[in-house]
Amino acid sequence: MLLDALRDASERRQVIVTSHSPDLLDRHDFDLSELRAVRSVSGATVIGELDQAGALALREDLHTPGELLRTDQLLPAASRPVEAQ
Amino acid sequence: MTSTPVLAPIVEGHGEVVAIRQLVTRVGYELLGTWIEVAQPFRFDSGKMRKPDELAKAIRVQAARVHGYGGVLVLRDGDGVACPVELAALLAPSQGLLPVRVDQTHMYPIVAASFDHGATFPQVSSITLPVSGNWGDRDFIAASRNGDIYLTWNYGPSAVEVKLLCSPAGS
Repeated sequence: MLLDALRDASERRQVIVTSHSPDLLDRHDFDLSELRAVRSVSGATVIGELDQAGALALREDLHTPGELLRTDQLLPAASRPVEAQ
Repeated sequence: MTSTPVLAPIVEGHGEVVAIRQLVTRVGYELLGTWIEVAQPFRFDSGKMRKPDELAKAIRVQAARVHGYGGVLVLRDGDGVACPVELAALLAPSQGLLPVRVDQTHMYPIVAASFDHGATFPQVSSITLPVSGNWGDRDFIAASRNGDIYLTWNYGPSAVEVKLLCSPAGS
């Protein structure tokens, strides 16, 4: 329900949600463009689209993003840390 | 594509998530004399690990993390099966799921047994494939309930019986 409300709101404005909750992501209707993964790599923050394995899991409907998060598989493809401005 | 072998592990314990990097690195260095890159481990609980469809999905995901040389490695309890050959058969996923090789030289099955929790692998044997070019081998590391660790490869007995479902250039 929360996700539906967020998607509804996104029809009128940009919505950015950060969460540690895999339950919020337990649906099979996510588009890859809706998701970004965040990870701390050697003390630096890396944000990016899902890596090749995660993207494959969603495209082939193998796992929900929530299942990937529970198994620590929701990883960003980008390898470079985000630089502070 | 990288020349460094990449191993993408699937494990069933929290401790193994950390330990697998040490184990694989050590096996690679001491047995193969090479550095092996270990991808992010995929952790299953023991129940899902024993469901073939769940294991197959995890293998599919982990296979996407292997570019070039390497493979998917499944580390699970042997459920009391002490024989490496029986373990290899027990752990083999559905036919044709994932043909892999570990490095550029070992295109044949290897069985390595440890009886001291992976500190040493005193029994190592290689088996030359009966048919040249048969690369239906798959690698596994398994740990039994008493802590013995087995590194095994299983393979198709004949090249003509190996059904290749993935592109040779990668999946």
